Amino acid sequence: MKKTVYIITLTLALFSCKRLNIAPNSIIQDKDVFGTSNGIAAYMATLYTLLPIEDFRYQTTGGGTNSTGFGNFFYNQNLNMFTGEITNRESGNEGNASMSSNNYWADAYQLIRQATNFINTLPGFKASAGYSTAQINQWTGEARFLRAYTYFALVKRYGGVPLVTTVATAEQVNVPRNSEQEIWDYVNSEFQGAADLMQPTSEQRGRVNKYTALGMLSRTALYAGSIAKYGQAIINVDPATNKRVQGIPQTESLRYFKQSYKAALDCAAGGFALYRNSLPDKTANFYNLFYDVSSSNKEYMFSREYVFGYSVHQFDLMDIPYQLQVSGSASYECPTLDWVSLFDGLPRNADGSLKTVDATTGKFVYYNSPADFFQNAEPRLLASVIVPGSTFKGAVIDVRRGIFTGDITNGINAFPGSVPPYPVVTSPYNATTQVTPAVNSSGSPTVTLPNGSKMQAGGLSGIYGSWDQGTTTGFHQKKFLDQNLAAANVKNNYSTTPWPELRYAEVLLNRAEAAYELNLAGDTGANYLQDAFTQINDIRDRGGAVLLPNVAALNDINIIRTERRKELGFESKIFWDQRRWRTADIDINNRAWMVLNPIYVAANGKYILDARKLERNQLFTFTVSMYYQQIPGSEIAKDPKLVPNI
Amino acid sequence: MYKIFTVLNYRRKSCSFSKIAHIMKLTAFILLTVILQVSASTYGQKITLKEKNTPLQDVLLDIQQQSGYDFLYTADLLKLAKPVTISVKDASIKEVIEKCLADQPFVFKFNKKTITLKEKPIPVEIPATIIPVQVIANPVSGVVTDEKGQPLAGVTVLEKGTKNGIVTDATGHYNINVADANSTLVFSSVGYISQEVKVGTQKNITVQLKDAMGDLNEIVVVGYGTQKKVSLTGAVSSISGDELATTRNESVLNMLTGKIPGVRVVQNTAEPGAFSNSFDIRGLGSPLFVIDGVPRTGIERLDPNDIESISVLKDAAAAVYGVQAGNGVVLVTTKKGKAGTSRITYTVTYGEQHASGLLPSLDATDYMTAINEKTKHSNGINNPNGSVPYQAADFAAFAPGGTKKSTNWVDETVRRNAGQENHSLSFEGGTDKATYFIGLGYLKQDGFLKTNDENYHKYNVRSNITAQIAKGLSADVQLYYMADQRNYPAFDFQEVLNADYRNPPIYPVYAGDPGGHLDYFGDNGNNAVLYSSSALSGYRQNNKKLLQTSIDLAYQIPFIPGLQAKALYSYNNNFDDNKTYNKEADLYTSFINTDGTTGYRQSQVINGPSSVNRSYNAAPNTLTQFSLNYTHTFASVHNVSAAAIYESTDSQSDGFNGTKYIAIGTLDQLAAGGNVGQSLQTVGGGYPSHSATSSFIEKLHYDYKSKYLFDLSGRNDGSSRFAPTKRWGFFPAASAAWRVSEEGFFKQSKALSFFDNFKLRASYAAVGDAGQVNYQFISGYDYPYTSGTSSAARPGGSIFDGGYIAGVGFRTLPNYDVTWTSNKLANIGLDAELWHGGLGITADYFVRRRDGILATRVGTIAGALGATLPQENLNSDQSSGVELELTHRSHIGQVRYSLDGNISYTRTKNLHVERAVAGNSYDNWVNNTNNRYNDVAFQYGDGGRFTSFADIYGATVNYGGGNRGLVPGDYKYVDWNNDGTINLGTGSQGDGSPLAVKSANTPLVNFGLTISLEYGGFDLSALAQGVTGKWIAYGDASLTPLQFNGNEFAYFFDRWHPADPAANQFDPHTVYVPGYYSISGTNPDGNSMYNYQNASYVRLKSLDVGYTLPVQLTRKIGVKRFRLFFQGYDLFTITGLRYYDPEHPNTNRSNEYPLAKTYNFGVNVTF
Repeated sequence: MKKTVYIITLTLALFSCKRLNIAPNSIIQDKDVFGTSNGIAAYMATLYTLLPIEDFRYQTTGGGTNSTGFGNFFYNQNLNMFTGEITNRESGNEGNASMSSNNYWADAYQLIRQATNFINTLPGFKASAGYSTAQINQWTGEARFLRAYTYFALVKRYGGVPLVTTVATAEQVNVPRNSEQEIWDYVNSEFQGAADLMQPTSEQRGRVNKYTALGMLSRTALYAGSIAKYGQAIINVDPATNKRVQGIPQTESLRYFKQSYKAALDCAAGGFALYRNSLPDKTANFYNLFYDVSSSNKEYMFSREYVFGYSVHQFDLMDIPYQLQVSGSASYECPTLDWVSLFDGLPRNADGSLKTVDATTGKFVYYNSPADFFQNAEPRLLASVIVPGSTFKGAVIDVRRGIFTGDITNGINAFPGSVPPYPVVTSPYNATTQVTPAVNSSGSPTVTLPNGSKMQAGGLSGIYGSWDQGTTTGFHQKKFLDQNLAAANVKNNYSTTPWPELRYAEVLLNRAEAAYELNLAGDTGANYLQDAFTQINDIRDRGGAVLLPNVAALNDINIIRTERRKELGFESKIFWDQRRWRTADIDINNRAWMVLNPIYVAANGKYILDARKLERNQLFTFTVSMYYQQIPGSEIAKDPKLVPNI
Repeated sequence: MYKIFTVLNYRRKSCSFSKIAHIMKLTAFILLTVILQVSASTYGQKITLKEKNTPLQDVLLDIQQQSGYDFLYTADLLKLAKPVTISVKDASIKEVIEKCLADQPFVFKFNKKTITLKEKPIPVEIPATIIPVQVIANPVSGVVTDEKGQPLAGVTVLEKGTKNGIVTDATGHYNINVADANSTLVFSSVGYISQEVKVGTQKNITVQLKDAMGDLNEIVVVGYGTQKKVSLTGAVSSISGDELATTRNESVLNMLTGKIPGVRVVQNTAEPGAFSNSFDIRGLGSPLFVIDGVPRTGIERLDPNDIESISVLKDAAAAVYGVQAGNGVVLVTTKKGKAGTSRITYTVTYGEQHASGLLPSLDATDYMTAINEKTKHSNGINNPNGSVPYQAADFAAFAPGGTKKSTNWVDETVRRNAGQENHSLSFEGGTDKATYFIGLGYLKQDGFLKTNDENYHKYNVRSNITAQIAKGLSADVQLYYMADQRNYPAFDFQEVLNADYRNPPIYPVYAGDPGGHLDYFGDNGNNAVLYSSSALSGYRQNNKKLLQTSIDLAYQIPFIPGLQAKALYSYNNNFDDNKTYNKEADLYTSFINTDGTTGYRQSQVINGPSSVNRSYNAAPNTLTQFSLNYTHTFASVHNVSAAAIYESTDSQSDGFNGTKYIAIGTLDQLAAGGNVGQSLQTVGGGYPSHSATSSFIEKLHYDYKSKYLFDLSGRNDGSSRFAPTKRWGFFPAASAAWRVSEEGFFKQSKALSFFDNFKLRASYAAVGDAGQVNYQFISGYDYPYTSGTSSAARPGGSIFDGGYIAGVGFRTLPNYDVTWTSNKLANIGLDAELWHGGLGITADYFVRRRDGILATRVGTIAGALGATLPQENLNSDQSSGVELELTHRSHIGQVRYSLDGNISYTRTKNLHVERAVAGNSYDNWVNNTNNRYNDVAFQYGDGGRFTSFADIYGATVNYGGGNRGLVPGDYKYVDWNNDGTINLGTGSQGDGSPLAVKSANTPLVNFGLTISLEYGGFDLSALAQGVTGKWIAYGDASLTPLQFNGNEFAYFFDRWHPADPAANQFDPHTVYVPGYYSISGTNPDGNSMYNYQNASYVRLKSLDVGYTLPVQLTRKIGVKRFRLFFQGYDLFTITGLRYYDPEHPNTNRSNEYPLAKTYNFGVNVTF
C-alpha cells in the first residue's frame, strides 16, 4: 500500500506545475523584434501605418480609429471640402469648416511613445545583432522623424501640447501644455536632427530619408513662421505656467522662414526635380505623376502606397462619374468652379469674369459642347479635373443641368444669379427661364427636341435637382482617379493610387513662399525674389500655365499662394495653408461655392454654361477661433492641467 | 492504463504478467461486446496430478501446463485459497478442477480455453443468484411496474423472513414459490419505495412500485461524486432526464427553462443551428458545464435522450470546482445501462415550427399615405402646403386594377412555418458484469426562409459501457460523437428582415423582367430577395464535430473497506469546419434606351467579387484525474466520506482559414480561386492557443446519524493563464446542515409526525472566476498587429518597396498582479418533506460578493501617456436573491398528479465601478453607478399624450420651438426637474429619471410550474413559465417607423393623423383621428417610457400529452411500450408587450431571427 501511494505521488509529480508556464505564441519580445532588420521593419510598419497622414483614409467628420479621423473607411468628407477645392452632396450638412468631431490625441501619444521606445531600445541591440552605426543612425533618425511628424499633427491642430519624449509612467504625464513655440521648435529641430542621422536614400520605398526630413522641415518651419507672422489674433497663455499655448511671438517669424528656406535649399542637393517623364503632353504628364512610384519619379519624396488586399482605399468608388459607376457610389468629390477658375486658359470677359455670359450683351455665350469652354485650358487643370463633356475612360462625361426650350431669336438673357456677383438663387430654373431642369438621377424629365428626338434633361453623370447622384458642380476630380482601373473594379477597397504626402513641388513652393516672406521682411541673406520667381516658373512650366514674364511680376504673395492651391489641390494641404495664412475666416466664412451648369439649348443644339452659386446655398462657417481645434474634453478631464483652447 | 494495472497488481510480480495480459484481453472483450458465457462442453486433455498441501496457485500452474487451459482470477482471490491435496491420473480437466476446488470458496466457469475462477457468491446478499432449494407447490407470479405502468426489471422479490427470492425479468415478470398463504412478499429495487404484499390466496400479484424520486433516498450527482439528497448541505437542484424530456427543443438549455429554481434561460432566437441563449444561475454569469465529470462545452448540442440527470450546484456545493466555480456549476450525467435489462427504444417526432412575432408591414397605398404624412410633417408649420412625394396618380397606380402591384417583401422572402424532425434510437441493458447504453440521434430543423436555404442537421452517437473487469475493479468507457451541419445564406437572417421592413412596397422585386434583374432602389435598403437566397448571394455551411471520450477506472482497495482509487482520462476535441461562399450579386435599374427599348443599368454590386472562405479549427483538450475516495461508517453513527483528487487539464486550439476570389462565379470551391497574395484573398488563421491547469482537491463529509451534517472542501487551482506570482489559488468551502426531523424531540412529537424530513442548511465558499484573465501580465508585442479583420480597418502594417509588411502590435501596459475575480458565496436554506410527498419545500437565500472584477482604469491617466492601460482587479458587486420550490404529489382516484412550482428572484448591485470623476453632481447622479443596482435605467417619464390643439396650447412645458411643431397625439414627457423644458435626445440633460430596469436578458423574477397528470395510459405534462421585472426597448425600425423613408411595421399605422390627408397638420381646425402612435414622422424618444415596454410574461412553455397503449396489446407484437405523444413548445403566451414575442431580443436592430412556437407529434417504442 505504501508503495502504491508512493507511485501515485510520483505520477502526480510528473504532472506538476512546470507545464503551467505556457506563453501565447502570438506575443513576442524585444529580442524578437529588435534582433533582426526584418523585426525592425515590422516595428516601422506599425509606426508608419499609425502615422497621421491625411490621406485617402482620413475623414474630417470623425469616425475612423477612435474618432480620430485617421484610418477611416470612407473618403467622402475630406479636408478639401472645407477649402473651396471641392464640394459634395453631403457637405451641405456641415455646420462649420472645422474638425470639431475629431479627437486625435491619445493615438498621437501612442505613436510618440512607441517611437521613443524604439529610439531607447535599439542601441542595446547594436552589438548582439551586429548593426552598423549607419544602420542605428538611420533607424533612429527614422523614428525621430515619425515622432516629429506626429507632434506636427498635434501642434497644427491644437497649438502647444504636452511634450513627452520619454517612455513615461502614468504619474509622469499629468503635465501642463508646453508653449506652441516649444513644440514647433521641437518639431523643427527633430526633423533637422533626423536629417543629420539619415542616409540620402530610404532603406525601403515608402520609408523616409534625409531629404524627407528636410522637406518636412521646409513645411513645418514655414507653418511656424506663418503662425508667428499672421496668428497674433489668438494668444492664449496658460496662467499656471505662463506659457503661450496658442500663438508664437511675431518676432520669431523671420527665424522660422529662414529655417524653412534653408531646409528647402538643402533638398536641392538630393537630386530631386519636377516630374517631366511623360512629356510632351503636359496634361498626361501631370496626371501620370501621381501613378509613377518608380525611382525615376524624382518628385516624390514621401508617399504612402497601397496594395490591393492589404491596404486599400475607396477613392475611385466615391469619385467615379455616375455614368461609369458599378457599385452604388459616384461623384462625391466635385471640384468647385471657384477652384477651376484659378487656372489659365478659360474664356474670360474683359473684366476678368468667366465668359459664360457675354459681359457686354448680358446674354449667354453658345458653346458647341461644354468641353469647348475648356479647349485652351491649362493642362494642369485638365489633368486635375474632368471637365463636362471631356472624355474619361473612353466615355464622354455627359453633364447637363437641363434643357433650354425657349425662343433664342434674341439670344438667351442671363438668368438670375448667372452674372457677378452671382447672388444665390435657390430655384433659378423656374418657368420664366424656359429651362427644363433635371429633377432626379434618372435624368428625367424627357424633353422632345424640335427635330422630334428625345433627350433627358439631365446628363448621364448629372447635374440633377435631387442632388443624390451625379456631380453637383459640373466637375469631377480627376487627380487620383485611376483611368487604368478596370471598370468592374470600381468598388470598395479596390483603389491603390498612392497618396503623395511630400512632393518636391511642395518643397519648391515652400522655398518660394519662405523666400518671398524673407524678402518682404527685408532680409538680404540671398536674392530671395529671384529665387522665388525661378521656382514658381518651374512649377508653372511643368503645369502648362502662363509663365511670369519677369521677377517684377512676382509682386504679390497671393501669386505664390494661388500657385500652391493649383499645384497641391485635393492633396489635403490647402486646408492647413489657409489656417497658417489665417485667411479662412475671410475666404470660407459664409461662402457658397460656385458651380458650372451646362444647359442644352434645344433650338440650336448648342450649350450654354451657367456659372452660379450652389443652388442649395450651402454656407460654411469659419470663425477665428477655428484656427485651432478644441482639445478633446475627455483629455482635459483626465489631465486637469491642460488648459483649453480659446 | 497499463500503469494502473501495474500499480494495482505489483504484489504478485511472479505471475502478474500473464495475468495482466489476460485481464486486459478480457477488458477489451467486455468493452466491445456483451458477454456471452459459454460452458466448455468437451475436455479432451487428460491430467495427472499428485500434490499434498500445495498452494492452489502452484496446482493451477501445473494444470495449465498440462492442459493448455488458462486460468483467470484476481490476485485477491487466491488469498482465500486453501492448500490442495490431490491425487489423480489421466483425469479429465473438469474432474481435476472440481476436486481441486472442492473445499474452496470458489466457483469456476469454462470459456473455451479459459477457466475463470470467482468467489462463491453469498446467497443472502445477492438474492438474484439464489436457487430455490425446495419446490413447494405455492407458485405466485405477476408483473412489477413503476407508477407509469412501465415494467420494472431487476426488482428483488423476496419471501419475507426467508432466503427465498428472485428478480423480475426484463418484462417485469416473476415467478416464485412461497411457503404458504401466510407468506409475505417484499418487492424492492433501488430508487423505489419497497412494498410488502401478503400472498393470501392470490396466485397473481401485480405490484406497482412507487418512485422514490423526491424521496429521501434519492441520489444526486454533486461535484466529484454523488450524495444522497437527504444528506446534502448545499444548494443543489437536480432533475432527471425524464423531467427534462417533457420539454422538447433543439437545445438542451431551452429544455431547462422554468424547471430549476435559480436557473435563468432566455432563448434569443430559434435560428436552426445558432443555439443562441442567455443562460445563468442566480444571475451570476456564465456557469461551468461539466458533462460526466469533465468540464466540457457543447451541452446545448447533447442529445437529450442520452441525459440521465442534470444537477445545478448553486453555492458552496460548486466550490470544489475552485476558480471555475464563481458562477455556479451545471453537472450533466448521461445514461448508463442497467444490469438485467435489455431494451431498445425508438422515438421519432415530426414537428412544425411557427414563427412568433413576424410582423407585417404596410402595403403600397398605406406606405405612400404615411410617407406623404411624414413629409408634410417635416415640411413644418411654415410650409404646410409644401409638396409631397406621392400624388393621386401614384395612388391610382396601386389601386385595385391599377398598373402597379404592391410588393409584400416579407412574403417574398420568409415563410411562417418550417418543419423539423427528430429520431432517437437507444440500446441499453447488460449483465452484472457489464452494462451498456448506446444512443443514436438525428435532428433536422428547417428555417423560415422561403428559399429553404437555412437548415440544420445533427447526428450523434453515444456509447457508455461499464464493465466489472476484476473483483473490485470496474471500468467505465464513454464516448460521444456529434456531427452537425448548419446551412444558411451568406447574409444573416436579420439582413433579410431589415430589408423586408425597409424596402418600400412600391418597388417590385425585379427591375422589369420577373425572375430576371433584381431591382435597385437606391437608399431604401438592398433588395431583400437577394439576401434571402443562397443561389443569388451565396451561402455558408458550418460543420461542427464534437468528440467527447473518457475512460474511468475504479478500484475498491482491499483491506480498507470503503476506500476506492479512481483514475480518469478524458480526451475531447471540437472541430469546426466552415465554408462561406460570397457570391457577387448585382442590382439593376431599368431605363429607356434612345431606341425605346428597356435597358438595365448595373447600379449596385453586392458582395462582390465572389469569394470562397474555408476555415478549419481543432480544439483538443484532455483531462487527467486521480482520486482516492473513502466512505465509511464508524460505530454505525459516524458517517464519513472523504476524497482527495488531483486533476490536470490541457487545452489547445489551432486552425487556419483561407479566402480566395473566384473569377468564375459558379465555381464555389477554394481551388477555383486565384493565386494567394494577389488580392484580398488570404490564407491565415490565429496562433494556436494552449493553456493548462493543475488542481488538487480535497473533500470531506461527516455526519452524525444523518442528523448533523458537515461538508468541507478545498481546491488548489493553478493555471498557465495566471501571472507567475499569482499562479496558484486556494478556494475553500464549508457547509453544514441540521436535520431537525432526526432529533428525538421531533421524531417523538405526534404533532410533527407529518414531517418526513426537515433540514436547515448553511454554506459559505470563497471561489473564483478567471474567465477574463488572459495573459494581461505579459509585456511585449503582438505579432502580427491586427487592427481589425475587414479590409475597411486600418491596415496593421505598411507598404514598403511595394509590398505589405506586417507590423507589430503594441500591447497594453502589463499588469503583473492580474488575478481572478474573488467570489464569496453564502447561502442559507431549508428542505422539508411533508405528508409523504404531499408537500416538498426547498427555500434558499443567497448572497454573492465579487471583488476584483477586471476593469480598465478610466479618466485618471492623461492621454499623453501614449499607452493603453491594462485591466486591473478593480470593480466589485454583490448579488443576492431568494428561491423557493414547492412540490406536491398525490392522486385523485385513478388520476395521479404532481405539481412542481419554483420561483426565484435575483438582483445585482454594483459596489464599485471604476469611472471617471463626474463633471457635475447631476452627471454623477445619473451616470455614477456605484452602489446602485446594475439594472437601473434613466428614462424620460410618460406624461401622457396631447389629445387636442387646446391641450398643446395649454402646455406649461416647452418641448422645443415653443411647441409650435406639436400636433395632437404627440408624446408628453415628464418635466422631471421642473425647469419648464424637455431636452429630448440629450439623454441625461435633466429630465431623465430612474424609471425602469434595463433588463432585457435578465428578468428579476423567474418562475415555473410543472403539472403532470397520469390516468390509465394517458399522461400529460405541462410547464407554465414566466418572468416579471423584464423591460425591453426595441430600436431601429421598431422605434422609428419609416426610417430612411423605408417601410414601417403595419402596427404603426394605428396612429394619430388628420382625417383629411391633405389638411394642414398644424392648423388647429384640422380634425384628427386618434390612434395609438403619434403622427408619421414623430417618434417617441428611445430613452423614454414610451419605448421601454414591460416584457413580463407567462407562457405555456411546453405541453406534453401522451397515450401509452396497453401492454397486453403491444406485447403480442413484441413491443414493451408504445407511446404516442404530442409536444408543444411556447404554445401560448400572456404578455403586455406589444407585437413581439417577450423573449425576442433587441439586438441586431431588433430584427433577430424569430422565436418559434413548435408542435411535435411523436411515437416512442420500446422493444
